[in-house]
Amino acid sequence: MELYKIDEKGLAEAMARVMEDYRVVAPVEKGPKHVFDDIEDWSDARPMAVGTVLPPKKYAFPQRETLLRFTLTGETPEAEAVMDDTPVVMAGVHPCDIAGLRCIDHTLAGRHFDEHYGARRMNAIVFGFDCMPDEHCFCTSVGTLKAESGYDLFFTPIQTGGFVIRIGTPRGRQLFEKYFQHAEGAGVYEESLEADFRQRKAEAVTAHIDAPVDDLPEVYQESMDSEVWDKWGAVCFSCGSCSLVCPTCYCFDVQDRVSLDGSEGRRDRIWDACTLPDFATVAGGHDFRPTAPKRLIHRHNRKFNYQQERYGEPHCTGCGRCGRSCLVHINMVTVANELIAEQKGEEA
Amino acid sequence: MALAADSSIYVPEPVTLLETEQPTELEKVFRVKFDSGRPLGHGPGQFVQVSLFGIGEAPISICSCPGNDEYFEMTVRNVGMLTNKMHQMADGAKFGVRGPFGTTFPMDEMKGKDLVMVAGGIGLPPLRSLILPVMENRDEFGKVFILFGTRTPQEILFADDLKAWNEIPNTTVLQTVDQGDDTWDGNVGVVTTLFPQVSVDPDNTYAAIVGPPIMYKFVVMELAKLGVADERIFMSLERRMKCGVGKCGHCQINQVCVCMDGPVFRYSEARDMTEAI
Ligand SMILES: Cc1cc2nc3c(=O)[nH]c(=O)nc-3n(C[C@H](O)[C@H](O)[C@H](O)COP(=O)(O)OP(=O)(O)OC[C@H]3O[C@@H](n4cnc5c(N)ncnc54)[C@H](O)[C@@H]3O)c2cc1C
Ligand code: SF4
Ligand code: SF4
Ligand code: FES
Repeated sequence: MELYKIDEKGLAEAMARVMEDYRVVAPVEKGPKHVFDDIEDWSDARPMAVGTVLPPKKYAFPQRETLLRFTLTGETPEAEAVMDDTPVVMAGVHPCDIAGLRCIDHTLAGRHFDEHYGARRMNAIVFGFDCMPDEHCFCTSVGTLKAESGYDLFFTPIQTGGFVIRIGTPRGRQLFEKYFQHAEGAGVYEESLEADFRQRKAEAVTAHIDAPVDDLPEVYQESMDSEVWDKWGAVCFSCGSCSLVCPTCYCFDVQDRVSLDGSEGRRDRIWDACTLPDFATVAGGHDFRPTAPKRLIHRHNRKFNYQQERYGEPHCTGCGRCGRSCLVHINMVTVANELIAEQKGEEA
Repeated sequence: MALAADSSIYVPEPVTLLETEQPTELEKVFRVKFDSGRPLGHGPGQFVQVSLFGIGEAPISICSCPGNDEYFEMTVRNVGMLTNKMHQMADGAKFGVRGPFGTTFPMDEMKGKDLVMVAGGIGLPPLRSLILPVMENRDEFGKVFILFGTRTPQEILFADDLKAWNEIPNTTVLQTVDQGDDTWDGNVGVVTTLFPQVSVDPDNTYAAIVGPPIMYKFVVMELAKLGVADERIFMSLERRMKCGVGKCGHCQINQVCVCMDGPVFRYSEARDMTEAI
């Protein structure tokens, strides 16, 4: 594969031109945290910032999204589907969040293709960026240290300054040729100093799951009755934050809104979370997951067992967001390692 | 750019309410047809998403016979926002339907076998979409037992059907209520108390179960006592559903989506799912 390079100044120059033609979003500073937001000046972008509060999935699958608009005045109810196909360049998507988008694709773009998601997703241009892990990241445990695909362009910083650029799609090649190829400091890159960065990145990861990721479905399958769930369930607030910040969570609720005069309305979908109470309650009041431990079992098994078995890859990308956001410090690594230790203990 | 498209998997198709019948205080039977004239084309055990703009959607089973190109029927219990609004609809009313969705009871596999069909309360309507085609092709099946339990005699659904089915040779309808009253001289007790009256060739028997969550475990135990293998027991499971097309995550049990991989499951599969019954 051809590799290219660009220096910081050339990148800023190229991105300024991209911004003339496209909506561009990237991590920006917000208080002590980072969030993905629209940018107008590349100097505001922090493309390598780790742990944006919400993952960039919000551009393909927004927190609230109108699916249908309907009129209520005619004899026959009529509805039209609403889709957004505005191209958006997401700059600063890390390998974990690239994997997150792929996980959501399995469901929303799988059987019964969801056109609303599809319209946004296909027009979401991914400029991936490498990053330096913090203490919550565990990409090395789940195979997301490096993105093999899922990006249009991918930028890895090099020690001598600037970035190596990889091209991932035909669309990426077009964008590269139009905006990056002729920027100042751009050129062909031959020998792979990328590996050097990746090495340092891997070494920066401090959180590790104590078993190969392929073993996890079995570990979770065997742990349905583990006391680990009771222990963490006892402190879980069932606040739902862990699901809301997760790059692979896609569960949603549907709500209708009607205009004040009652003539028209819209049907929206809103993010929902299986860790919230009543997520599995049916009419008549029966709740199929009535306790916090049961809900935690479900969420964690969705990551390392159910969806992993179904789609062949873990549905936890090691991004660490749920651990960062949980007030009682429930996180995937601690829970996984406790389950693994428990089973090792049983075997011994 | 936001664009308006004619369709997506979430756009319902308009239907017209042809007529209703109210067999019990809480339940009404709705007979509807698509305005486009297209047949629903459902299989036994499938459901649709009923869509009322401004209120929302709810999964409702089809209770009429597959193969009817004129109309289809649903029995709806009035329990909340959407179902209440449905109960207020007059003949000729228009609303939306998406579907049919989900898996079916395997009619072909059941041919030539004895059948034990067990329903509790509002579980009878979905089972009716299996019972009706069985009755239409009655000689293709062995003995048929239909077990139906309700809380009170007032909650009995499809009383005329039950009577008619019971008169068909080799077909036995057994009924029970949790609490009897002056009008009731039949069996009193939960649906499992009817099992002593069931006699089938267990190695040659299929079972189908639809009822409230609490019922499944106990009915499965009775079927096991009869000697019916787990592979030949089918059950329709209810879960909260928002989309019906495998997207919203609400109906997930372990690795399966009830709306697509179900609602009808083979017990030998459901058995191994920790949350199924
Ligand atoms: C596959 C399938 C097939 C079905 N078939 C039928 C059928 O044939 N006939 C039929 O009548 N029903 C059927 N149901 C059930 C039916 O879908 C529900 O009764 C219906 O969705 C209720 O909608 P509603 O808007 O009327 O009630 P809602 O307004 O949603 O609520 C109904 C009741 O549940 C309570 N409730 C609702 N949401 C919550 C929550 N989050 N937490 C706590 N309580 C809550 C409400 O307080 C209320 O008492 C089926 C369900 C499934 C999954
Ligand atoms: S963020 Fe923590 S407290 Fe909140 S639901 Fe998730 S695990 Fe429970
Ligand atoms: S489960 Fe937690 S660590 Fe894993 S992808 Fe979701 S938010 Fe990130
Ligand atoms: S009802 Fe939405 S996934 Fe099954």
